[in-house]
Amino acid sequence: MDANRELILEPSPGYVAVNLRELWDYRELLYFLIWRDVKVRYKQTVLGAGWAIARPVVSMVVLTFIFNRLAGFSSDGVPYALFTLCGILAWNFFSEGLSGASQSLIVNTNLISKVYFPRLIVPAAAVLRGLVDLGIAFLVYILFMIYYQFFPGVQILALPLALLWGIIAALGVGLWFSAFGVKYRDIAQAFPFVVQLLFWVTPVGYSSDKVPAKWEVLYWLNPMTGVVEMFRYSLLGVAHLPVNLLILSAAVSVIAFVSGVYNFRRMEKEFADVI
Amino acid sequence: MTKPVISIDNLSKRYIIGENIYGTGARTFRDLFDHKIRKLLDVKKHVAEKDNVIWALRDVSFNVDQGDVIGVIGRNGAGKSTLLKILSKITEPTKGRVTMRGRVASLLEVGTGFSYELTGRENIYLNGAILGMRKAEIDTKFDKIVEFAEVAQFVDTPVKRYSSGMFLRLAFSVAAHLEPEVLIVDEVLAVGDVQFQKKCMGKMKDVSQNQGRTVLFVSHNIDAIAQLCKKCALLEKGHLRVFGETDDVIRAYLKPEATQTGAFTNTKPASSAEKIHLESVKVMDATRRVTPKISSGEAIHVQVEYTVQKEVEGARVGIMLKNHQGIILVRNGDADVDLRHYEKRGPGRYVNSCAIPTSVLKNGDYFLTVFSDIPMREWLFYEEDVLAFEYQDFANNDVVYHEYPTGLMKFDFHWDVTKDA
Repeated sequence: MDANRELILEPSPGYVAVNLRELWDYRELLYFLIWRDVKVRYKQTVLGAGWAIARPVVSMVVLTFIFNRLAGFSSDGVPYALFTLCGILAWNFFSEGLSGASQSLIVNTNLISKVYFPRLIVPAAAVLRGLVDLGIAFLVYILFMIYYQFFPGVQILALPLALLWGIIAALGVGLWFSAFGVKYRDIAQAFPFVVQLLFWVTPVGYSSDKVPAKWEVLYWLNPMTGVVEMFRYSLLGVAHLPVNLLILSAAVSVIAFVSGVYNFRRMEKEFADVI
Repeated sequence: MTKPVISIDNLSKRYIIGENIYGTGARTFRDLFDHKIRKLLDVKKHVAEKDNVIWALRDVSFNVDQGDVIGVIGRNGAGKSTLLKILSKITEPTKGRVTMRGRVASLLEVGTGFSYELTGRENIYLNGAILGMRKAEIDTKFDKIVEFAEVAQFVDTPVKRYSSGMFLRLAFSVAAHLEPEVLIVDEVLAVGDVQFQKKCMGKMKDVSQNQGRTVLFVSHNIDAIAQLCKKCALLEKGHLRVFGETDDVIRAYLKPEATQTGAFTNTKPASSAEKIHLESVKVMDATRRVTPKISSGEAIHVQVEYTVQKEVEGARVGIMLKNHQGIILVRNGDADVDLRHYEKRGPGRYVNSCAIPTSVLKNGDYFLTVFSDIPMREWLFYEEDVLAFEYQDFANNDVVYHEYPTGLMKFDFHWDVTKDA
């Protein structure tokens, strides 16, 4: 902050634009919050990084067993285990980012009620710290890739886009839950159910082309359908990607994100009074 | 003339209290639905909700000039914390505005965001970032912070292994090395041991007097305020009562005008809804003379007069005594001592008398609250700080060493001193 800049505090109108310059000023805090959470997490748990490895592998085994062996689904010539692992990476990033963001304000009550900083940083840090877990899980993915001798092609260039999309989707939905979660505490109870439900309507253990055509539009309203298929596209080269539905899914993500940010800005001035 | 560093204009903050003190009163989604449906069905109740409003601050205005060290004092609920929260941007005002010029840092708590799992070093960086310091800035101040906190040996030990004293020193040290033009501090000195408090005071003095910074300092600790601040603002129930020289403001704080006579007469007429109506309260010295200044004698006599309008059972009537810092020293009702007082009290006028033994009182100002309730069920009346009195017994004076706290009350024990044969 400049020494001579005047700072005026007064009641603000309902919707407040995002102050990008301020967010930029506080970028180091974002970094430190992510760093704190990652550090504390890996210091506290005995398994440490092992946890980030074990979880996707166990899920992969279970989902492959159910969908490939029991239900007899196939995956266009890609090893089914790799196919599910790819979906799991994307899904875990999303679901952990979403639940982290949703609880982030309550977990950081102390910060919210005692210090000023742009509140958006808190849920953003909760989503972005998932990149560390994703990175670790990705190392496992590489091992499986080598084992199956199945390597990505040029499509891997789309991976950053898939990641960005994942971040936008997790943060978009997470912002809604976090802002309302401060005021209405019973949201936390409904939350695991919502996430579980989303899991089944996301093509994690199966491909989205298994969905009957008449349900397709509804199915692709889920932002995660697009994210998971994009992950598969970039890592495996095969994916069910109807362009118009892909755009639909992307549009829902962007709308959730933009409206989430604005709703958050509208509600954040009450956080300290209510939390 | 230069512009003031902080201008506060007609600042007001409103809280709406519904079923609870949070916002709309809806704390669960279910409540929200209940609330909306009730609004639709029961218009009257909706209108009544307009009464459930608390103005934590009401039209507060004052200016703080460059280099001023301003104390903000007031009793619990006077609006001090709300004022600080607005100035710190943590919450928004409902009306009015504040204009600030310069880099402002506020310190409402030491150690905000400290993480017990992390080491001292890691916490310095984390806490510094939370307080608004840049990493590069922390790098250059790191050694000074560690040195001031006296934790050099333990800087790479997780903070959970620190003693509480070490923890506080480290937390304060990070905050003390912020270098804002305007510093807003809340009750920081209320924690920690005496050594630590001294160190904090020293640093605060250094910051305010030697470095010429502007400081806004909120505290219950009148001594600290008197030592540090040139000017003070006294808040009372959300209003700014006095703003001026520290000595004058402290005097006004300690002795509210309304309660200076030693006697209180309830001017509110008795309403039929009241089961018990408070009539008057008196403070008297040993000779039964009504006075707010008591300088001798074995007891201070308190007399509470009230009218029972409808027969009540299970009620008690009592008093509460607070010291000048607003700390409750004792609360006691008639039925707490003798259960028979819970029996029926028929309509009529009553007088409760009791004596506060002066042997346990230190010299100073005291505040009396009178109350009547049916325990756990309802309040019959409650008049807070209805009278103030001063106890000064020069004959039996307790010598005050400001170096260390001597407690809230005075007890002269019977000391036996023997020498081993």
